[in-house]
Formats: sequence, structure tokens, C-alpha cells
Amino acid sequence: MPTLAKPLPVKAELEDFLKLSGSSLLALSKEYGWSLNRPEMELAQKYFGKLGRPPSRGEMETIAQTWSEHCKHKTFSGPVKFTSGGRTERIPNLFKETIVKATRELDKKWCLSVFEDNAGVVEFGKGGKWALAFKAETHNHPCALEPYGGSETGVGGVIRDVLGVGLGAKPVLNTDIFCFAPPGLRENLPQSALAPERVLRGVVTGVRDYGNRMGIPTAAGAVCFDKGYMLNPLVFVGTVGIMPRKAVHKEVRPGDLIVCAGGRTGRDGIHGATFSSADIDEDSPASAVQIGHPLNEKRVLDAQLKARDRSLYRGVTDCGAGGFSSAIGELGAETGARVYLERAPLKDAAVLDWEIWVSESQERMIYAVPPGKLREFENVFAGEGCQTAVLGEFSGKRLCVTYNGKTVVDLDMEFLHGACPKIEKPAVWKPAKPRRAKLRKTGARFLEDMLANLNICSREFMIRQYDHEVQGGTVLKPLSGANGGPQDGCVIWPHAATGDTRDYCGFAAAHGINPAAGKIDPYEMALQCADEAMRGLACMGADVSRAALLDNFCWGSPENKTLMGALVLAARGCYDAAKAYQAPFISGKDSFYNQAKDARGRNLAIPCTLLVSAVAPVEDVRRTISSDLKRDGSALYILGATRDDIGPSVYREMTGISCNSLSKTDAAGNFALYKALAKAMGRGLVLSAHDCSQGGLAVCAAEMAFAGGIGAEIVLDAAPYEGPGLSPEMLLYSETSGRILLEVSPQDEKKFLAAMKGFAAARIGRTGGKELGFVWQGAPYLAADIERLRLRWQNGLVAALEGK
Amino acid sequence: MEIEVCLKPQFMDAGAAGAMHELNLAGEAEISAARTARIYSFSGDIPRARLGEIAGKLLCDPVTESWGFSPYLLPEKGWKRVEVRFKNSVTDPAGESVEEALAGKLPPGCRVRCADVYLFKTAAGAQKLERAVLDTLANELVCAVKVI
Repeated sequence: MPTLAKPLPVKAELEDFLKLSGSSLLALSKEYGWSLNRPEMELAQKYFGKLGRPPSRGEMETIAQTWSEHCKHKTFSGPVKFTSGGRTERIPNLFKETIVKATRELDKKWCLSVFEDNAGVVEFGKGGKWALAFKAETHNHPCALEPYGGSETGVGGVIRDVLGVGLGAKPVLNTDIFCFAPPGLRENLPQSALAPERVLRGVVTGVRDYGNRMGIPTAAGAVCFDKGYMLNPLVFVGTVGIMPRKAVHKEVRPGDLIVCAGGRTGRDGIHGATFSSADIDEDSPASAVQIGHPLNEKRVLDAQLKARDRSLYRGVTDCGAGGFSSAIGELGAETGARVYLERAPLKDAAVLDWEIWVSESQERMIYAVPPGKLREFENVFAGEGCQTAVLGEFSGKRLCVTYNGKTVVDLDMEFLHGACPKIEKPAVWKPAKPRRAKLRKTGARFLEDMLANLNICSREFMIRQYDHEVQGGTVLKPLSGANGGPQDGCVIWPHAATGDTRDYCGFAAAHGINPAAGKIDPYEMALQCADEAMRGLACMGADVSRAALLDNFCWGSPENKTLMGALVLAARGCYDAAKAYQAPFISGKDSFYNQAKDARGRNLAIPCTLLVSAVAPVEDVRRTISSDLKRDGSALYILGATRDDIGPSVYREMTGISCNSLSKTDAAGNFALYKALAKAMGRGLVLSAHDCSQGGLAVCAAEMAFAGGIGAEIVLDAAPYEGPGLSPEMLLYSETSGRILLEVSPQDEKKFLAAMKGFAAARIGRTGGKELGFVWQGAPYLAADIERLRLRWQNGLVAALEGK
Repeated sequence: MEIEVCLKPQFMDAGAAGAMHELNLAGEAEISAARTARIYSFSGDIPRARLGEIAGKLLCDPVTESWGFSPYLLPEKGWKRVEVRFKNSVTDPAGESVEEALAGKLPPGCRVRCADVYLFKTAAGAQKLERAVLDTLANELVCAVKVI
């Protein structure tokens, strides 16, 4: 098991800091859990050498967290030397030259705050009165060690991000996306690691307990299963919030008081930020894991929104990774800050001064309060039973932290925020040789098994634990239709935040994640992820021309050149996707070092994983489209052509064939298609829509059928196909992006076809009966009872968790 | 001083059923019956009668639950008692909430921590049961487990 927190500092080591050799500095960094590398330690030594004194523990802790991968994103924002196909190029800042560049070039006027605050913010609703904030975070390392505490504090953290953007937004939606190893997997599972099913149950329970108690609906998400997540589960949590447009920006002024509110500070959560810059091993700090207290955060939320509406503060941010150190350091980056740590409310008296400074105890926010408004601010918070304390003031251009008169930190802000050395990382990529395979014939039983496959089956076990109805604005729920079928995302009508029940403007949220494609081609994975998220929005009737994206990269160690090469490709894929879909990235996060040693001592990295989250307005939520079939006798249309995309498919996983076929995503073409579809939907020409993603057309049709309790007959030959390898299995199970299956009323077919003129839209069948049948070359090819399909789909995950 | 609150035997203990199911699924210790209780641990000097009053009126629902000073839920022959507590360095949100709810009724500085008690009917030895609990119901990283 991981050991407990490191023993208290050996004073002599820091007193000798200026004399230490490079290797001793590195050893010191490891000993204290700072995760600072040698050049960073040497730079700190040089800085303190100029000051003529050794650093204090608090100063080194502050530097370590400020320069951590978690806070500084030094891999993604650092220089890269990329070699591929015999060509080498230097990229000074990968993040700026891909993700940020796309957003800058798109220059959408409705983007109000991007890459500068705790979340991305875009315009929302009519009349320019409201703004929408969106953020997705990961909490992978803590969840690997303590799934319940890790996931609930992950949820708590991302909610605070939305509370801490601008002057704060009211959270109206939580999202959750997980990557786990299959339940029951024990192959080379080290004794110190938790079993996959235990991680899954713990994570779901944590998300449930925190989100439900906060009164925020958890209504959109996804789950991926892959053996590669055995030692490092991925837990993405997101929050959408609504705020008045005038609250989008904060402005801390010299003289403002530094006020903390919420939970008290304890020894918990020491080194959470620096922990993110290291692999998980048996020495991972237990103190990096915490148990959350959602009721404390709920009180902060309620009090803050009242204080915001009375203009009682000028700035706010959350105490996340790095605690006070990070929050006060960031808010006071321009003004400087003077902090008196003895004023902080503590959980117990045994906390040391530097621990108060860096502790990541949960549910704490920092506010910049004008002195004249302090009393009213305190009264508002006290009215919600929420503790506050004035820690100091923003002033002085430096960061000066004391504890009962003793200096804990005295650092130059410019050094702290601007001096972190940039270290060029080598990156290489060698594309795999293409391998195609002949597909074997399957039958109805195979389709049933596929619906029970972990990557496709119902997430009802999780969904039903979450409160997705609270706030009364969840228009499209995770399970909808007569039989509760899967949807492509959710649609929220945030009247609980706007207080306006006459304005039916809402928003849709959807996700794209495809680690299987990333194993073949990280660039294509990025395009596919963006496409899946955009397609999800299109299926629900959202305005895709106003979509905004989030990126969340989860990778192994950036010291691995091939993984760095994959990162370069995926980031470039994001750039191309954003440009093609005219959808700017507004926020994001990366998580590296998702790797650990298995029972045989092999250091295993997770599959390179990118999550793209998308949000777009729905002009009138009453016109939301769901995926369940609505009527007998409707026409079924497929948009988009099928190609050989068996490489990352569930069909390949189930049959075990050796193949890596993955076609090029036509992002620009798909975007034009989705825009045309949005117009047709706006005219009421579509009854239901569902994206063809995992499991291909067969699974998509099955889900629509059993969700509505209505069967269908589909003529496979009628579906457009491009490229070699045409076969019924290919049409059934290939996972080509850009395809949507639609239900259209017979009387609207002409208008629908006119609306889709110039796009690949083909009538492939009709609805009716209680069976799902597929026809090939004029003869029945596959037929299955939809109720039987539904039962297999519904019980897949629970059966796996029960070891059946 | 510690108070234990548990469901009266005539009420179905869903928490116990869930714990038993998880342990049996893991297959490390076969459990044939289970019961649960919650411990409220009070630091500081509180008169026993005062604590009894708090337990009976505030911590326990007298219709469905009963309470007693710890150890209250005692193992009979063939049963084992397992206590799962958060380590002291770990935030205990339930304990903090109880502390706030009882503000004014407890002496200043009195702290409350909560813990779980499980009674399992099992033939498994104490060590085996402890391992099974650590693999399913508690995490060694944040919890301490004691089998009696």
C-alpha cells in the first residue's frame, strides 16, 4: 500500500540548499515529494543564491506546486522536438500552436473568456444577458488510490472551478466520463492496486454522493472499458454553469482583502498538485487523497451567489491543487499578496505553517473583498452557516506569507509565475502498417452479445444512482423513450439559474472519446472525438454552428518519446477539428503520468485518451430530438457513407481479428451535413435521431428500436458505402464517423430530402413490428427480437460486475 | 465515549445486505448474515446522561432504531464484529455535520467522529475477514479496520 505522508522536514537539508549538487537537489525534491526536476531545482537554487539565503519549506512547496504539471501544464505548453517520416521540426509551445491557435483564428465573438480563467465562458440565451461556463477536469491519480474520495473531490473541484470563473456561475449540469479496466480483470494486478470493479463502484458512488448532495443534475457522460486502464482509471468530471454576463470577468485591486470561505484547513491533501507530476507507485502519498464534504460546498455555493448578486467581492477563485498557495498566488499575480496564516480556520492545531499554505483541504474559496463591503460579505456567508476569515490583503507586488510574525514565504511574483524553465521534450511517431481483414459472418446472437459488450451495454447501474432531475431542467435525460434507451447527450433548460420560465432557450452537452482509435492513429482519434461530440449535438437538435469544445488529454509519461509523438498528432487533430467544425476550444486540461508498474514490474501506460466535450445552444428546448423510434411506418434514413473502420471497432474486439483499418474523417463535410440536419430538425422534419458510433449501424438501429419499443427493417445494400471491403458485416458493424440514423415521417420525406439535397442521405428502411431485421441483396440477413436485444443491453454491466 | 445506533432487528438492513453481497462476490470470506450500526465517537468530557439524551433524541430514530453505549451491537457465537473508522488525518464529513448539528449541546472543543460497525456471520478467521473487508468495504489508505 502507499505509505503515509513523508516525515517532517530535516531542517539541515534546507539550510544546506545553496551548497547542494544537482543530484542532491534532485534527491531532495524526490524526498519531499515536490516532483521538481533537476533544472527546476537548480533554477530555484540560483534564485535563492541571489537572495543570499536558503529557501524555507513553504517557499519550496509554493514553487513546487506552482511549477507542477497540474498547475503549469509544462509538457503541453513546453517546447517539443517532433520527428516523423524522416522529418524533424521544433514546436515552441504545442498548446498555443494547436488548441489555442484554433480558437484565436476562429475568433468567435460569442466566446467571452477562454483559456484565462477557471473555465471557458460563452454567451448564452437571447438578449446578451447570460453567459455559460463549462469546465471538465480529471481526478485520475486520487481515484486510483481511493476511488470514492477521489471521485467526489473531483466533482467538488470542478464545481468550484465554475464557481470560481469570473465572479461565479450557478452550476446547472454535472457530467461524468470514466475509463476503467473490465470488472474481474486480475491479470498482473499488483497487490497494492484496487480491483477494477472496486474502482468502478467507488468512483460511481463518489460522483453520486457529491453531485446529488450539491443539488446539481448529473445527466451526461460516457464509460470506456479497456485493459489498459487497470492500474490507472480515468475519471473526467465536468460542470456547466450559468452566470450573468456582467459577472464574466474579475478584477482584483490593490487593497482588496483576501477572504477565505468554506471548509477549514487541515493536513489532508498535501501534495495533490505535485503528485500529478509523478507515476503512481507504492510511495504515492496517502495525504494526496481526501474525503469531500458536499454540504460545506453547497453552503459556499448558496452564499457566494447571493454575495455576487450584491457585488460584495471583486474576484474569486477556488482552492484547488496547491490550496491557498495556488489560489492566492493566482488572484494576486498582478497585485502581490500579504497573508497571515494564523488567521486561517483550522481542522486541528497540529497543522504546520507551510502545511496551512499548501494544504488542499476541500470546499474552500478565496475572495477579493473591498474593505468597505467586508461586513455585508461576512453576514451573507454567516447567513448560510458558512465560515469566513480575512487572511490578509492583495498588495505589495510580492507574495509575503507569515505565521505569527515568522516569514513562511517571501517570493517575487515574477520569479514564481514566469521563471519555470522550459525543457524541450523529444517526440517521435511512426505510423503502423495498415492491416485489413476479411470479416466473418455473424448472426443475431452476435448482435445480442455486442449489445451486452461492456463498451456498449446500458449504464443504467450508474445513471439511476445519479439525480439527473434536480433543478427541474433536464429536458433530454440519459435514458429516454418508452423503454429508456441511450441518448447522444443531454439537453438542459437552465431556468433554475435564469429564473425565466418564458424563455425556452437551453443547451445540449455531448462527448466524444475513442481510445481504441488512438491506438491506431492519434490524429484521427482527435478528429473522431470531435466528430462524435458534434454529431451528438446535431442528433439532439442543437445549433452546431455555435458549438464550443473542451479538450481533456490523459496520457502516460511525457518522458516517453512515442507517447509525446502521439500527443503532437492528437493536438494537431484537435486544431484541424476545431477549424473544420468552426468550434473553438474554450477550456481544457491535461493529465500526464497515467502509468504504473504491474505485478511483473512492467511500467504500463494507459491508452492515449482524449475526451472532447461539446456544448451548444438549443434555441427552443421543446423541439429537442431524442433517439427512440416514435411511430410504426416511418422512414429510416442514414446520413453519411460507411467505410472500413473496423480497426477501432467493437466488432474487432469481439472477433479478435487482426486489423487496424481506420478511414480519414471528413470533418468539414460532416459539419456541413450537421448544419443541414439542424435546419431540417428546426422545421420539424425529423422524429428521432441517433449517432452510429460504437457497434456501428446495427447497434444504433437496435438502440433506437428498443428505446421506442418499435421494430424496424433495414436494407443494408441501400446504405452508402465508400472504398473496398463492402460486406454486410462491414455495413452492420463498421464505426465510420459522420453517420446518423434518422426517423422521418412519410409525409415529410419530400421536404426532408429537399433539405438534405447534396448530402449523403439514403432511405434504408422503415419502422414497425417488434423485430429488428436487416436485409442483404433482397434476402433476410439478420433478425432479432427487440425485447431480447434490450434485455441483453440492459444487463451487460451488472452481469459483469456480478462476475457472470 | 461512543454511541452506537442500529436498526431494530425487525427492519430490513439494506446496508448490511449490500455489504454481505459485496463480500460474497469478492469470494474471500463467505458471509451468511450481516447487520450494521453507526458509531458516534465523542472526544472530551461529556456526562453520560447528557450523551444518552443526545443519542436517544437526536442521533437515533426511536421508531426504527435503537442505541446504546459502544460496544452495543455485539457478536453472538459464529459472528464477528468489524469496525471501520476513518484515520484521524482524514476528513470525516458525517462527524463534522453531527458536530455542527449539536453545537451548543456539547462542551467547547468536543469533536465527533463517525465510524461503521458490521456484524458478520462467518466461519472466516479474523485475519481473513479483515483482508476481505479491506478489499471491498474499506480502503487501508484512509481507513483503519478492527475485527473483534
